[in-house]
Amino acid sequence: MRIISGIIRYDSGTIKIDDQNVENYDKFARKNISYVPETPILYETLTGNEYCDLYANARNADRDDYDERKTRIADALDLVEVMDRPIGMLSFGTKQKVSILAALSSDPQVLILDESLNGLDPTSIIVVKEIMREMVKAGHFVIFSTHLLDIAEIICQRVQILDSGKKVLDGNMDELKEDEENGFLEKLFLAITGKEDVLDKAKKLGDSLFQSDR
Amino acid sequence: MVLRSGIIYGAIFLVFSTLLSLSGRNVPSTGIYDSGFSIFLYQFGINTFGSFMWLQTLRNERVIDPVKIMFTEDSGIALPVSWFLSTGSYTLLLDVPPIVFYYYINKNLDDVFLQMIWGGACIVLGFSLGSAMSIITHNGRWSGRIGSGVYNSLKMIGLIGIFIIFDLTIFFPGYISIFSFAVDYPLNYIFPVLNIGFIAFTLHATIDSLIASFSWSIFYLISSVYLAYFLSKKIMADLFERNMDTGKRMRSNLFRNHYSSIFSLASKDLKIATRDITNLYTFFFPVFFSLPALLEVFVNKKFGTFPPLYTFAAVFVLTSVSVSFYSLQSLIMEGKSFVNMRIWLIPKREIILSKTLSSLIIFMFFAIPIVFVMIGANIGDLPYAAIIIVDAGLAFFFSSLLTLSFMMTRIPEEASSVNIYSFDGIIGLIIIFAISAFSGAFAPIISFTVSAFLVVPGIDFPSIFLGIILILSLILIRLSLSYLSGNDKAKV
Repeated sequence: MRIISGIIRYDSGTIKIDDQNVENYDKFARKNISYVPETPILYETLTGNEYCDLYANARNADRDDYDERKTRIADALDLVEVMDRPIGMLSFGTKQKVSILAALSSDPQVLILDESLNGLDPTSIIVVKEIMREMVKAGHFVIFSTHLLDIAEIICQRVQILDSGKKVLDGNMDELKEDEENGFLEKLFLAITGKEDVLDKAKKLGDSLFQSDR
Repeated sequence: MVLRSGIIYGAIFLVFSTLLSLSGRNVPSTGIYDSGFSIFLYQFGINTFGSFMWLQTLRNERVIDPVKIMFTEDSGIALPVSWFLSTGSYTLLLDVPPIVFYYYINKNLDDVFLQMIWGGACIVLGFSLGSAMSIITHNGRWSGRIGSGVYNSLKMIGLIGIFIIFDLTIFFPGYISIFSFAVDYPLNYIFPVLNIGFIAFTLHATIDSLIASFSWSIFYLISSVYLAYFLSKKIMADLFERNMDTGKRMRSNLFRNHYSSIFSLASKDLKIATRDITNLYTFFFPVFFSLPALLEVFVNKKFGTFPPLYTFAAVFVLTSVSVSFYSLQSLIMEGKSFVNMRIWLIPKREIILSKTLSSLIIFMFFAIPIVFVMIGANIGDLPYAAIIIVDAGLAFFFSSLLTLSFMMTRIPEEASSVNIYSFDGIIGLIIIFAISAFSGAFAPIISFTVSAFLVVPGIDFPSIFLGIILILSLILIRLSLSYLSGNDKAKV
């Protein structure tokens, strides 16, 4: 993901966006790809507003509709009242929301979320999920990395599973799902990685730990 | 932490006050009166300034938000007591040496009691004046327009001002106390603080004058306590009121500033530098080192016969020192946030240019007044001041480009943060200082060498020297910018 976002240079291979090779990838990535890391890395003395503006300016993002986009997303994420406070005074979850707001406000063609829903309140998670869905419908790309397979199951169209750095599954969610009920991705993951017995072991452990309380 | 810094402040106050009192003790008749009065005046000034900044920090940083449930809205005690315990109380140590020396010389207990009353009154009056200033700036037309960066800059300027006043009182102790005698009786009782010398540092000839002095002193103490209580209530009400209307204020500010990435990054650096007082102190270091020399210019006029070349040399020393400090600090203050530069894919050229630009603005903020003061104390030729300022700015720009370029090569591609250890330790720091010194002095040295051999009829040496350095600096900057652009393109 860091290679796709342009942070790490690639030694070999190609990166294609919509099956097209991209000329001058650094320049393209700077303007069109927004990467939201797992832990918000913001400037503590800037306000949320200043950070979002800096983000957009630093990335040479399109200026059309920027103000309106920022205001509407900030409103949806319940950020409006804290946008003029120094970021250092905000909670972890609010900082993460500011980080996501900055990424979304610059209208990226590709959005990369690296476990970025951690620490968000339930309402904000719902808002971000819906925005991600609408982005994809509008022809944008969202790459969402998570350890929470149930969330991936709900919002992703295509899924890749990595185990110890190796790709062990790649497929469209509809094809993988077939007639399975909810929770199929967890079962699939355990089957592929050879950890089917984890569920049984966890159940037995729980039973033994809390047997005396029953 | 607070206790430790309090002990340090208190110790500094005690040492300064003792030194000043000792210098006053040696002057016959009026010595202790002059130095004692100066110390009380200084105490009042530092408490006024300190309380104003303390209250502005409360407002800007919303320090009271997490604990506001502990306060009632009409509390007029919490703020002054909290300020006194954390800041104001240390200044009481300023009063100890002059009171002790005064008693040692005059053996007069009446005046000692009066001085103790005024020691307290100076603290409370200082707090009241600081509170009034805070209310005026908050509720007046400047309300909402002054950010914490501006306040931190004011804090630095105020500190410099107070230190200069303090130093000048050491050099000229008698000048300030003239205020107290300039006004005739009974008007001289009316001006608080300025009348301390007249009321508390004079041997009262009659019982009537002693009673009058005690009455006025107690009156001022009680009045200042009441004033502090009243103003604190008003500030407390402000703090609660502000929390209620924030939503409306935030909404109106959701607009974007459209700048290019370089200006935007430079603006970010300026905000980080000025809003964090620790960063600002570091940016102030090079000037702090030159402050004694400046005061020397004021006091002894030693540079009065020197040509502007010496002023120029002094400014270039300041420039080279500033480049090394500023280059280092502008990267270090990024800390973990330096990762953003990589996440946002900012080319090194833009990072270097933005940091050079922000450092240059801070440098000029300090350098311009210094050059004018030095030229003013020198030969009074203002055109030279303008040329020296431009030359120093160009030298700073070139030197900063070079130093930052070197420093950026020392930061590994995968580094997750930047700190003082990111540049190969002590050796790296020495190299950084050497590069900034060499690149800062390069143009002046070449210029000096060339102009020493170049004789142009009708044009004096300094003009040739400054002219060559101007052209040379511009060429060097152009070359470094081309190098940076080529370096970035090569990597894409």
